Order: sequence, then C-alpha cells, then structure tokens
Amino acid sequence: MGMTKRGENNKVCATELNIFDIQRFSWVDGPGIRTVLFFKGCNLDCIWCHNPESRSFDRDLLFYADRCIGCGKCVDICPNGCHAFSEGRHVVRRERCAGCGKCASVCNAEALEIVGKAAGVDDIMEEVLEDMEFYGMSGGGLTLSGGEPLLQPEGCFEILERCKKRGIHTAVDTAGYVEWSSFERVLPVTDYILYDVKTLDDEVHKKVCGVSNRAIIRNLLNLKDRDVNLIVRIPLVPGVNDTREDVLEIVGLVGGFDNLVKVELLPFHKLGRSKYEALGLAYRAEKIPVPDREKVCALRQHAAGKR
Amino acid sequence: MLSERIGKIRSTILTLEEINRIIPKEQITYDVEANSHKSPIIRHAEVVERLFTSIAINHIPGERIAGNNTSNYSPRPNHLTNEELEEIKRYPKGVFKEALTAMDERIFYVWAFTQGHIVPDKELVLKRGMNGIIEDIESRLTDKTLDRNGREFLEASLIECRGFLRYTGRHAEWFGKKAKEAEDGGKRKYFEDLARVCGRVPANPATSFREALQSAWFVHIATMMDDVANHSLGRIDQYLYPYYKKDIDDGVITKEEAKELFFEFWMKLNLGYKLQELCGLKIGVRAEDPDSVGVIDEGSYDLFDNRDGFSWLSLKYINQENHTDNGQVLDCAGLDGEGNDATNDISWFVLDAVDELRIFEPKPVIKYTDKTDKRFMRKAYGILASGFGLPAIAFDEAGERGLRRCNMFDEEAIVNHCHIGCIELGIPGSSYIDPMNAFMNLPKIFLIALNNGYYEGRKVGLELEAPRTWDEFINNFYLQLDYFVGLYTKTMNDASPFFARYFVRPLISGLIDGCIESAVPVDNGGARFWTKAVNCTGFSTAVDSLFSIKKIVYGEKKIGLERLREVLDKNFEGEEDFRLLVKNRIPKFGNGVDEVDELAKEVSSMYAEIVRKYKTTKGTSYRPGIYSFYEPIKNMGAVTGATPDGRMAGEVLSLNSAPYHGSVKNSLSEVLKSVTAIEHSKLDNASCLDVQLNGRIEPEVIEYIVEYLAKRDVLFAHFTVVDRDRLVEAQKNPDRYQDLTVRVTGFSARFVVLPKDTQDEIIERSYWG
Ligand code: SF4
Ligand code: SF4
Repeated sequence: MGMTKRGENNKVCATELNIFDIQRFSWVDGPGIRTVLFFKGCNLDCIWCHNPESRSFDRDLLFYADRCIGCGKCVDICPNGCHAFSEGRHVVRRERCAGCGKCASVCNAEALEIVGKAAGVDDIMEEVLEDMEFYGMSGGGLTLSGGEPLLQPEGCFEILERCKKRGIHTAVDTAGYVEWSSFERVLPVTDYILYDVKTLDDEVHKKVCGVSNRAIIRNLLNLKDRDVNLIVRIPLVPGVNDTREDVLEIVGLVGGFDNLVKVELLPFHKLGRSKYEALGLAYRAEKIPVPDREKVCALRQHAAGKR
Repeated sequence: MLSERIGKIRSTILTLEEINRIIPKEQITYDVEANSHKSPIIRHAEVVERLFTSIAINHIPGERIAGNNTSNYSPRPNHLTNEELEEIKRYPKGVFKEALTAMDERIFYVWAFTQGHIVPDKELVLKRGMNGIIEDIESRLTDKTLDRNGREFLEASLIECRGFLRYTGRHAEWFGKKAKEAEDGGKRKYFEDLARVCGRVPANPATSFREALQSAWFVHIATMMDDVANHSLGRIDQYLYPYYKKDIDDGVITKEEAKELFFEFWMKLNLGYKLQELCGLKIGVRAEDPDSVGVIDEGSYDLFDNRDGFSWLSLKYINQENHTDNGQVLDCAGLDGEGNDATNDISWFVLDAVDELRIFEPKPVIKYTDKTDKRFMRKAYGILASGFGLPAIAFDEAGERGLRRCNMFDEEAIVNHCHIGCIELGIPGSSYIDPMNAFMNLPKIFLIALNNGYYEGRKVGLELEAPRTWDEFINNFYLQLDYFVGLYTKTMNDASPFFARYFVRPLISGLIDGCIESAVPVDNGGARFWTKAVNCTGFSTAVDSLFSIKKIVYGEKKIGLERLREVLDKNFEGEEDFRLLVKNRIPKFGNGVDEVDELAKEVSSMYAEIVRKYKTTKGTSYRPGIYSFYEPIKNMGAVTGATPDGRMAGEVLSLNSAPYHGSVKNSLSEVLKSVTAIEHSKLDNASCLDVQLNGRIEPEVIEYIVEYLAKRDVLFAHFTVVDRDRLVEAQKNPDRYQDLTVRVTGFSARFVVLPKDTQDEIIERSYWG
C-alpha cells in the first residue's frame, strides 16, 4: 500500500502502488480510449464479483489445472512445499504460500500465475504515456480501478497528479466504501468519478456485498456539488437490482446532480468463474442467471432517464 | 426505409429459387471438334457469342434495370479440343523438376491464369458506348501489318462485342413486345422505358443516370460470360456521378429516385454471394449443384493440388458454370483529379445501400484520405460498429506510395487506383496485375533453412553451410527465400504464356487500355500496365520462429541447432515443457515488443526486396504482398512441420500480417503498434489488417483506430465487431443467428454458413483475423 520511501540522495522516490494489472485500449471505463490501472484489495464482498483476484490485498496464487502438464518443477522450487502430486493430481496448499512467485516463474505452461505486485509510479507512468496518441484523439486518459483504488489514496493522488501535469484525463472507478477524506485527496486531480452503486436497500446490500451501504450513499451525495463529472454504474444482477424500480430508485437519487454525466448498466456475466477455480475459491454466483438482452435494453432506457 | 418496390425486388433477388423459377434451366452446346481448325481464341469467342444470342431473357416484376444472371443460365460450353485438354493436363510434367518438388511440398502454388482480378473499363463504355469500342477494333483490324495472333484476337473480341449487343438488343425487343401486350398505360410506359434504355445502351454512350447504371450492369454480365468471377467495379461513385449530376440539374430525376435505381443495381450484384452460400464456401471443391454440368473435368478437384494442369488455373472452372460473381469490390470516396475530396452523392448511396440492404455483395471499399468528409466516415463507422463487416477502409496515401514503388504507373493512374478482387491494388481499366498467386509458405521455407536445404531428409532448397551466428542463420533464410521466389517466378513465366494460349478473355481485353492498340490480349501482356504478384503466407509464424531461434539458440544458448532440429522433427514429442517454453516465454509478434517488431519489419522489407528483383515475361517487376486467405493457411499448414514458436506440425499458419492466433496477450494498443511496424506500402500488391473487436463498440472507437492507422504505413483494414459469446452461441444454435456476419480477408459471410473449422478460427482470434 502507498508508502513513500526516501532514496539515497534524499530525493523522494516514487510511491509504490499495490496493483494487479494495467490494461490499455479500454473504451468502457470512462470517456475515450483509456488505460486502466487495477488496484489490488477491496473491502466489499460482492457475490457476483468477476475479478476475485482483486479482492485480497495480498498476492494471490492462481492455478489453472487444465493447463498443467505435470512437469513437477513447481514442486521442486517451492520453498514452502505448497505444490504436491497426490495420486497423479496436482494439489496446491495455498495456506502455506508466501506469494514469492518462484513457482510461476518456472511454469512454462502458464498454469501458475502470481497476481499482485508493487509497482512504482514511474514505471506505471511510462506505460500510461505509451497511449498518449489515443488519449489525444479520443479525450481518453487513465482510469484507476480495482479492487478499490481509494483504499490507497496517496498512491492514487500521486499518479493522478502526474497525469494532470501531462494533460492526461483522469478517472477513478470506486465502490465508494471509503473515508470521505480519501475522496477529498483525489478530487482536485480527478476529472471523472465512476461510482458503482449496487442497491439502495441496505438489507439487500449487506447480504450481497457484505457491508452496509450507508457510507457509500453518503459519499455519493457528498459528490453532488463537487467539481467532478460523475458516472454512476450499476452492476445489473438478476434478483438483486434488475427491476425497473431498482434502477429508477438509483436514477432518482442522482438524477438531480448537475455533475451527473450518465447512469450506466453493467450486466452481470460469468466470465470470471474460471478465476475462482484458479484461486481455489467457491463460485457463489453460479445460480444467478445472466440478464437477457432485451431486458437490459429496456432497463438502459430507464437508466437514460426515459421512464 | 426501403420502398415497397425495392423491398419486393430485394426478397426476390435474395431468393435464388425465385429467380430460377423465372428463368428456366437451359443447356447450350458447341461442337468443339467440328471447329478444331479454328484457334482457341476464336472458338472461345464463338462460344460466348452463342451464349449471348441464346440465353433466355428474364425480368423481375417491378425492376427498372434489366437483366439478371442466374445459376440456371447454361454453363459456358467448353471451347478446347480433347487434344488441347490433354496437352494442358500434360503441362505440369514438363515443368522444371525443382518447381514440381516445391509445389508438391506446398511451398508455393502456381495459378497460371487467375480468373477475374481485373477491372474492365466501364467508364469507357459509358462514355463511348460499345459501338465506339467496336469501331476502334474495326479500325485497328485495317492494319495490314498485324500478325495472325493479333488479328485473331481482335476478330474474337469483335465477335463477342457484337454478340453482346445482340444480347442487349434482345432485351430491347423483348420489352418492346411486352409494352405492346400491356393492357394499361402505366404498364406500357414501364416496358417502353425499359425497351428504350436497352435499345440505347450499352451500344451508345449513356445519356442519363439510369442508362449509365444499365450500361454498367450489362457490361458486368458480359464480363461474367467472357471470364469467370472476381470482377471489381472500380471507382463507381466517380464514373457514375456526371450522369447523376446532369439528371439532377435537368430535373429529370430526384435524389430519392436515383438512390432507388442505385439500390437495384446493388442488389443485382448479390447473386454470386447467394449462390456461393447455397453451393458451399469451400474453395477447391466443385460447387455441389447436382445438376451442374461438368465442362472439362468431371470429378471434383483440389485447387491446391498441383499435379493436374487445371489446378493451375485458379478458380477457373468452378464458377464458369453459373455466370455469377462473388469478388466484386468497388471503391468510393478518395481524391479527385485536383486532389480534393471526391466524396459525392453516389458515395453516400453506397453507404446507404450497405446500411439499408445489408447484403454481402458487392464489397465496398472507402478510399480514406485526411480530406474525406468526416460525416461520411462517421456513417461508415456506425455501420461497422453495428456489426456488419462492410465497408472496408483503404488508406489512399499509403496505396499511392505503394504503387509508386512499382516504377510502372503514371501519377494520374496512381491517384485513380482502386481495389481488385479482394484487397489488391490496381488501376481500373488499364492494368493487369494478376494479384492472387504464389502464397509463398514462409514457415516451411524457414524450416528448410533450418535444415540447410532439406525437408524431412528430402533435398528441396539450396544446400547451404550450417550457420554459426544469428546473422548467418537469417541470411540463410533469405537465401532460401530468394531461391524459391526465383523458382516460382521462373515457373510462372513459363506457365503463363502457355495457359494464355488457351484461356482467353477477348471481350474483357477490349475493355482494358492498351490491348486493342497493341493487338495483344490482356493475359498475353496487352494491358498498359502489366505485372504479376508473389504473395506470402504464414508471415508471423515465420517471424516468431526466427525470433525464437535468435533468442534460444544464439542468445540464451538454451539449445543447439542440432538438438532443436531433433525436437522439431519429433513434433515436440516428449518435449512438451520445451514447446510451452518457446510458445509462452519467448515474446511473440503482436505484443508491441520492439525487438520482435523490428524483426517483422526487416523480414517484410527483405521479402519485398527479393520479390521485386524478379521480372515478369514483360520485363516488369513482380509485386510483393503479404496476403493469404483461409484455404492456403490451412492447406499449407497441414504439410508444414513443427516450428520453434511452439506451433505443432500440421497446425494452421498465421494469416496475412496478423499475429498468430492466441499469441496476443496484451491490448489492442500493442497489436496496433506491432502490425504498423511493418511498412505495408512495400507490400504494394496486397497487405491487409483484419481488426476484430469484441463486445459493444462505439463508432468512435473505430474512428480512432482508423486515424491511427492512417498516420502509419498501412494499406487496408477490415473491421469485424463481434461478441465472442454470441459467436459461440451461434455455433450451437445456428437457426437463431442467421444474420450474424463476420468479415475476414476477402470475404464477408454469414457466420453460420461457414465450415466449422473456419468458425473456430474466428472464435479463437482475439483481435486480429
Ligand atoms: S510447473 Fe506448471 S506445469 Fe509444471 S507441474 Fe507445476 S503447475 Fe504443472
Ligand atoms: S508463490 Fe512461492 S510460496 Fe507460493 S506456491 Fe509458489 S513458490 Fe511456493
């Protein structure tokens, strides 16, 4: 997590961020063509989460059993004896894993992957700058996503500030379950907030996200008069928030915001399932159906303010 | 919104059964042996003339442009004697032994006569009428110094041109009769109009937009009688515009009426696609119409099988049986003679037709320049984002740059360039470029280099000294490549005049600038601009393999060449971990890795240089292209052993200049960086990017990509917007996804009618086709 180190000649070294991925050429995370920086660690526990590797603040070991050719190199190299073959099956004892990454580095089959790394702001910036041409023509830029980026407010601030100095458009994608001070820290260097709202019903929220939504709603309302553009994003999950009323309720809450750009619906999908398996976690969204196209289209109309 | 009339025609024309109900099946014959004293070109002309004079006239109720081609039309009867046919079959046996070996190994394919791939000068017919062209031929024939070949060509051309006018004249008569029989005045007027238009064009210059469309359409039918398919239409918005403009200025037509007529013309061009869908898409397999009458070869044959003389003839015999076309590219936008944006109302009609009719033929290409009307482009992006794989975008400036590299075309021709067949660059009405050929199997040539001239113990290439350094290694690769390109061009230079004696297109030749003047048919070198091409296949498979060698053999020294050969010979058997190492751990083309991209740039440039060294029979340089379609990459991949990029023996090769499927691990930004590292204008025959975008796309995203590509040296791009999940769904439930479309090099197709392996290919690819 964001800490500042002092270098040898007393110059401030770049802050290190706990991230798990950088993706370029995204057109769905704010305006234009964007680079998305994924922060590691989240304090919500949504049952439908499609990025389960983003949740823990620690490094995760992913094991894709179908890719493993059984070469045994991981068994030999792991200092903690996490890998073993029993009756021809590869078993991973994750509880012993220290996340050192040695096994993944020898696995040519790409059956093992370490997710999560500490990355310096300089290195991140270098990659962000690669797509300047696309930001320029499209009005795009950098989006911080996750995980929950605002749990690393100093790191967020530093990288966003660097972007602003280079004239790069900035956006933060947040679930909002953070101290208001974290928002205050990044707002001066943030053009867009992509704010995820699941449901206004606190009982439901507790049940499906593991926490109360009070702070989330309070922070959202605080954003009302601030100098930042707001996109509210609703992950559309059948049985949780997929009725007309659900959508209209959220639209009603933010409809009066002058800084609201739009309300977006992100239909639930099951593409993340294989990652659960790879993490050795149970997939809790198996029974949730994927919303059908027509329904999504109709709800999008409501989200756009058409009743 | 389509008018009711157009809607009705659309549903008739899109249902082949309906057209075939209107046109009875017929069979026209020609007694070759009785005419054996005549030369093949005269016999060909007589055969085509016979078609023109006896094919049934047809008409779809309500249509204002006359004439429809159909699968019920009689196949063009054979014009070659048994003796000649035997000679053709014998031809391969006489070819250089080394070439036959290379062809047996599928290192390249020789198609000595590629059907179509030419743009007959429709503009000329609009301006001068067929009568004008006939006059030219007649006056040329008065030249006493003409040799026998020249005279016979001109006579053959004359026979066909006159036959063609009889065909169109019969339409005029037929409609005239219908008019007389008509009961009410409206009907009478309708048929009288048709009779009048068919009476005027294509014999005379067109005087109205309707006449221009009718004339152009008749010429198109005629070229399908004379030749086979793949006749592009050139810059249709430019040569039709003066007629449209005059009619609008004179108040004789409204924009809406003009658009409807244009739509009619557009729909007529779709029949070939429809037929292709019904008969199967596989190239190399005879159309499976149980009633189709074999012309020369009774059995089915494989285009890529080099043993039979006829397989040296590209698609010659597949489509000749139904006189339809499915390679009809046309160009719009671009620049005018003064260097200004040439977008006009007809260009817009082209996009309207794509948008409103949603059919796959013809295939429009936008000649994109930085001056092209932004609104026009935005409409195109909107259509592409909606998931319809048309139009394609070509980059005019890079195209011009490429054509300049040929040292052959003049500036006026260069500005006026168009696309031919699929994506190949040519000049309408004046060039013969035979662009679809060779498909040099780069990965196999790489393997031969690795084995110092041998393949599986057989000597195939040059025996060279074993390389000690990376530089020596890649140099050996270039030497082998040079050897095979040389062998190919030598073979082609021998084969092409031989086949040109028998396979002729005198009418088309008359519509290509230079042929009448020189009294030489187009295939023998008559065109003003005349050259041939050498394309290559498996480009990134070869680059990845070379890079792998550079890294693991000469860089990290993980393995010696000797040992590597053993591993590859055994198809990685017992060496799966090593295979995965080279597959996953060595950077691959398509991920924006500078070192790999540099190599790709070098290999493509060297390839281009090598190809240009070789001269055609006319002394012009061969033109390089990185171009293939699905058949060659499967077919050549099947006989190409394991490669050190981790590809197993027999697996498909990479397509065009695209990264190998599955090797793209990063985002589109990196892919774009890699593929634009290649200087595509050096591959001026053809080089194409197939951009496949997954998910919901805003039109602007395509705009950004186009603008990015336009700033770089890129010739041509196809965009397919697909939802991967939908493709998988569609494969399972084809009934529910009848309208799902994809676009891959050279063809657009409904996904559900593609063969399973091609579907899988498309699903596999992340961003690039
Ligand atoms: S190194 Fe990879 S392939 Fe080998 S046994 Fe371990 S997980 Fe399987
Ligand atoms: S990451 Fe390190 S500790 Fe964890 S399993 Fe791999 S080698 Fe063992």
